[in-house]
Amino acid sequence: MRVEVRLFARLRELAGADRIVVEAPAGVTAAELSSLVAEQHPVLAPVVGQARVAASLQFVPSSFRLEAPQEVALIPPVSGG
Amino acid sequence: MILITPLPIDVPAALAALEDPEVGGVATFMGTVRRHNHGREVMYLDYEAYPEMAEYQLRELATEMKRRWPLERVVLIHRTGRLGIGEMAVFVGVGAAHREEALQACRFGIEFIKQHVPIWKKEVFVGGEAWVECCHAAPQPSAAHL
Repeated sequence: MRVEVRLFARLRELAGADRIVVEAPAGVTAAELSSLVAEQHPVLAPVVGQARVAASLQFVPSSFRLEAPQEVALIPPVSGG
Repeated sequence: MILITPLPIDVPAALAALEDPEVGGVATFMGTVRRHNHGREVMYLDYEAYPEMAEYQLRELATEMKRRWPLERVVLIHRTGRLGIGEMAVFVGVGAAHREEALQACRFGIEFIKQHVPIWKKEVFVGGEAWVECCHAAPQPSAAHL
C-alpha cells in the first residue's frame, strides 16, 4: 500500500518536501516503515532512526501495525518550549 | 484554553482564562527566546509545529494534569513562526485551589511539552543555523497513552 508520511523540521528540509510516499506491505509495523523510508528515500536515512512514528496524531510503539488510511508522520527529536 | 498560534501570545487573555472563584493560586511558566545558547549569539528562532498532533497532545496533557492534581483551570499556549529575542514561545498556566498543586502541575506541563509535543525550533545564529535537538525522553509509564 502507498503510505503518505508527513515530514517536519530536519526531515522536511532534507527531503525538500513536507510529505513523502512510501510503498509498504499491508500491516507494516512502525519500525518496518522507518526502514522502508530509509531505503526508498536515502537522503533521510541518516536521521530517520532518531525519529518516532506517529499515527492518527499519536506516537505509536515500533511494533504498531499501520492500517490504511491513517495519518502517519515522522517526528524528529522535539524541541518545543 | 489550548492553543497553537502564529500570533503573539496574549498574556492578559491567558491570565483571565485562569480566573475562577474556586482558584486560590495561579502558577505560570512563560518561555522566552534568549540571546545566547551554547556560546552562540542567537538572531531569532523559527518554531515549527505539527499543528494537529500538537494541539491533540496539549488537550491530552491538560486532561492528564487535571487527572493528577485537583485543578480548576489549565491554559497551554505555544506560538509558532519566527520569534526574536525576548519574544514568548510558550505559556503554561494553572489555576487551583491551593499553591501546591498549581506549582506541581505547572512544572509537569512545561516538562511534558518540552519532551513530547511535536514542535521544533530552529536556531538562527551569527554564523549559521541549526535545529535545536532535544532527546526523546523515555515516556513515563503513566503518560504512555498520550
